[in-house]
Amino acid sequence: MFQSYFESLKYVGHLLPVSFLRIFIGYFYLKQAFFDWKLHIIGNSVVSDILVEALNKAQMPYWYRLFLSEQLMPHWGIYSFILVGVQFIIGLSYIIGYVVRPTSALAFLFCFNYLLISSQGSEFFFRLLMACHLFMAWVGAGRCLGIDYYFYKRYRGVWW
Amino acid sequence: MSQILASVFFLFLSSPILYIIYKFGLDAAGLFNPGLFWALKNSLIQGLISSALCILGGVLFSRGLQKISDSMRARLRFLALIPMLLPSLFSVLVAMNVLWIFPYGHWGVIFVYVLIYLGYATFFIYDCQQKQLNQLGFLAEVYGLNRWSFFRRVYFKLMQMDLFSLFIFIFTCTLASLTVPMMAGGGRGTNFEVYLYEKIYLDAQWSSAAVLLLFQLLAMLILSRFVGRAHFSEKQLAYIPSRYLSSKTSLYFFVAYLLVYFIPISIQMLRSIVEADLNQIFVTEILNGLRGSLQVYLGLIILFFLFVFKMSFYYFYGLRMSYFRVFQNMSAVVVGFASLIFWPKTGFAFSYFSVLFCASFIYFLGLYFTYFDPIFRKMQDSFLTAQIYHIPFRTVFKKIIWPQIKKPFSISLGLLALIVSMDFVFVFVSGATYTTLGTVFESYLSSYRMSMALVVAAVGIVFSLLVYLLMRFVYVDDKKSEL
Amino acid sequence: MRHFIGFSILIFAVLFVTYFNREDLNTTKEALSIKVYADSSFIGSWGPGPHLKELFEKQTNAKIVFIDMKESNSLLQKMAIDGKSAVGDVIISLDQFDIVRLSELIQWRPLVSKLDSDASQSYEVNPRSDVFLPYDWAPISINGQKNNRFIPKSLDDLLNEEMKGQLALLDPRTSSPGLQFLVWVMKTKSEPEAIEYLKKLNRQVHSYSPSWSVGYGLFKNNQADYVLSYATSPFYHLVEEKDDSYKSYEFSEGHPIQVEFAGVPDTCENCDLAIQFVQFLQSPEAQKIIMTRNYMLPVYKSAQETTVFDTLKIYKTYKNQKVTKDELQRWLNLWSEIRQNEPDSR
Repeated sequence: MFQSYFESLKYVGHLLPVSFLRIFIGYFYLKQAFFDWKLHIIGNSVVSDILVEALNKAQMPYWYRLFLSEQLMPHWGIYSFILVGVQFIIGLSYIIGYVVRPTSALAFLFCFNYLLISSQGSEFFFRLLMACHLFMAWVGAGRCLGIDYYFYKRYRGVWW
Repeated sequence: MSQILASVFFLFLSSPILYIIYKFGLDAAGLFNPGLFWALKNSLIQGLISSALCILGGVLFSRGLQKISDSMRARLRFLALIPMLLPSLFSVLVAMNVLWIFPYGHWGVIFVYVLIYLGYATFFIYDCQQKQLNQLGFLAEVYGLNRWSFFRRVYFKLMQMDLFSLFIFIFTCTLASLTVPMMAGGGRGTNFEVYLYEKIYLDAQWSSAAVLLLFQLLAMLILSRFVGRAHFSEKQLAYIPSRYLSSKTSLYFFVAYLLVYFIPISIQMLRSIVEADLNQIFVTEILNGLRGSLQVYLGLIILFFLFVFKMSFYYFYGLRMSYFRVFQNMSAVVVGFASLIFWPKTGFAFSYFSVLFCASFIYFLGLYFTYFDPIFRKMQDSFLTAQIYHIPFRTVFKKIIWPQIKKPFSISLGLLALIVSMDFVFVFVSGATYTTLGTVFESYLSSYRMSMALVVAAVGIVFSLLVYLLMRFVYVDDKKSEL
Repeated sequence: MRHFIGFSILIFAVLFVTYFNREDLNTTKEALSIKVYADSSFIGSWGPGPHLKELFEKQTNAKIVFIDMKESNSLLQKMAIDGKSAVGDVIISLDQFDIVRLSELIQWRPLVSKLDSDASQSYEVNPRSDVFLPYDWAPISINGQKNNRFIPKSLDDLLNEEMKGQLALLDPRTSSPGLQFLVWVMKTKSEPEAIEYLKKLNRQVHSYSPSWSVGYGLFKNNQADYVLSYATSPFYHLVEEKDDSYKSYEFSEGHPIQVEFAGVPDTCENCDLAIQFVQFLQSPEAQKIIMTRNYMLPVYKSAQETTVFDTLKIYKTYKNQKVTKDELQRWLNLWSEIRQNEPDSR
């Protein structure tokens, strides 16, 4: 597995720039995850305030507003734990290049969620992130400088 | 290659002792301390008497096993092995429930040892009888040999190596035991292991203790040469039962032993659960213990898998494990003290790794030799064939080894669940400030809060059972994977 | 897909474990916690630890983490080895002999008692009062039931035939009351007499338990009719169990007194808070908790007024209870030898 990590440069080296982007985005997610962990999970969480602010946003789709107010608000502690967990998954997955395709799909949904609750100024940022995730899922960014190459050699298939 | 692996593995297993010697040096004065002779004397008394009683009981009770059907025998075998599988702390609890006035000291310790090993001894002797004696009992009847002559001239002559091997096995187990003399010794039943513990933790004479550790290792090395030396006749004839080797009275006594072990403790346990005053603090303590046990267990699952993988790797490349049996009964005190010195800080991470380190060193080899070594020995031909065809080890593990070790792996994980939920030794000797169900159990038992101890024991048993069933469900797909 | 699910479960499992073992971080600047070493009877659910923790945390907004000390000897040895990286802010459950034998292993912070000298009890033993503060005390005695056939009135009465196999003593190497008993014998008799006495007593004793809770557990469960304990132990039965059948026997030689101290090692992390905690142990509220949970007498005199502890008889104590480190070590070695050489009567 260790050998194939570097061997991937030889066979899928054309994806190297994408891998750098992947690792950078992974590092960004991981850093944010640690920050959110200390702030929201260990410290006094302010997630409920963020959710309340989001509910005031006019452009939110009706079905999402219902979901937020009925399902997520009463259990915002669990919701914040799951979100931070997902950030960790995305960050680690992108950095080591393991299960990148399914993680990209998850990250796409994650960013979509934030797109719906964020303010108008941040919308562009989240759209850009979604595009990056889509791109990485399409090209299979985990194959170069990633553990996915080891499994890609053996199993092929859409997930690698 | 196998020599290199052997050296590396030997160094790894001896690392606790080597680390202690490296840190504190050796002081041979420890070998001439009167306290050592006293502890050895106690160990000999307890070990010899316990082993002798177990052998005697085993010889008598094994005659009763001839009188029952195979299915009933299989059930009794399962029950008889439970005392050995359960942590010894549980057997101490059973002993204290059986006897109203517990005889603290040598006899208390011997009583607990007999409770633990008698069932195993009975079935071991029964199995050896089946293989060694075959039709000889029947032939002795035909030739008119009386019972006493049969036992003197045939039985003991053929069975002597097996009985000796069993004797040494039980003796070695008692020598390395820390829990039983500590809990049931009353301060008088100090055996070698407890003496070592006192030297290290109470007297702080570490260089003397290092010499004693080497002495113990040497003794275990010598003793381990005698374990597993049973000789069986090459021709396995069909077994014909005989009057000399069967007895209904023996069966009744054996069943009585099992009833004495299980019934009082079960009644007390049920009573304690029904009458328990589950106040907030008590429930919190149990939940803390359960959480700690779960955390340790998750770590042990990963470590055990890596350990089995590594051992199969060593076996595949020709390393034979018989020389490492000496480490099977590794002194818990040695491992714990090395861990205490090696992990200096207090804090969750260090405590956690220290506890994992101790648990893996103390228990993994025992589980390996019980469940995995016999399987690997049978696979030698397959390994040779794989090597001839240059099949990589990973493929061999996935296609050949893993399907055959799934069931013993799940059994081992079940036993590990039992250990983390009911044993306290690996946490106690590591000096780590870590709470598991086992430490909670011990604190209640040692302060004679029996009803609370029984409730905690019940929680531990339920936890282990659930885990075992889960592991079986996950790892054992269908009957084809059973060996 | 299996890999992805497994990877996700692994990450969440690690997060769960970390979450349940987190140290809560208060975002305010006053967020502090101290690690306090104490023995199991102090920090157990039935001891004063949980209640003291609750009260102190409410008063100071800080957090206390109790750590089971097991043996003070091995703890201080380990801290001496760890040197500057030793962990621990407060060590309690140290008695006067622990201080004599072990306190030089590490450095301690100076402590000043906030107790008025009028408010505090006076007793003879208070070594190194510049670095250790007492928080409770009690006379040591042999306890039993009121209706026991034989009532011992002196140490020599313990050798009576009626007491054979009925006396639960404690191991002096691991138990403070056990060591108190050994010193009691050594101080009230000459050394040759004491050695002879201990040899005879060795044959009488039911067992040597490693700690007070083990020994007392044996006594409570009728494994032994007499036990070495504190003169205040019968109050526990009177108050908690409404049972007045327990009694502590007064001996003609005079009784030893055990005093328990707390100290702050020099390697403490939050030293000011640690010192504050030790001083808190001497406060009236804490003293009441310690008295009613530990069943020991308070150092703050007024705490025991109008309580059942005020009815405790004043026990005569023997003179000159101070000992040196060498004496203690020599007596412990003597005891170990006597224990090893006893003829095996069990």
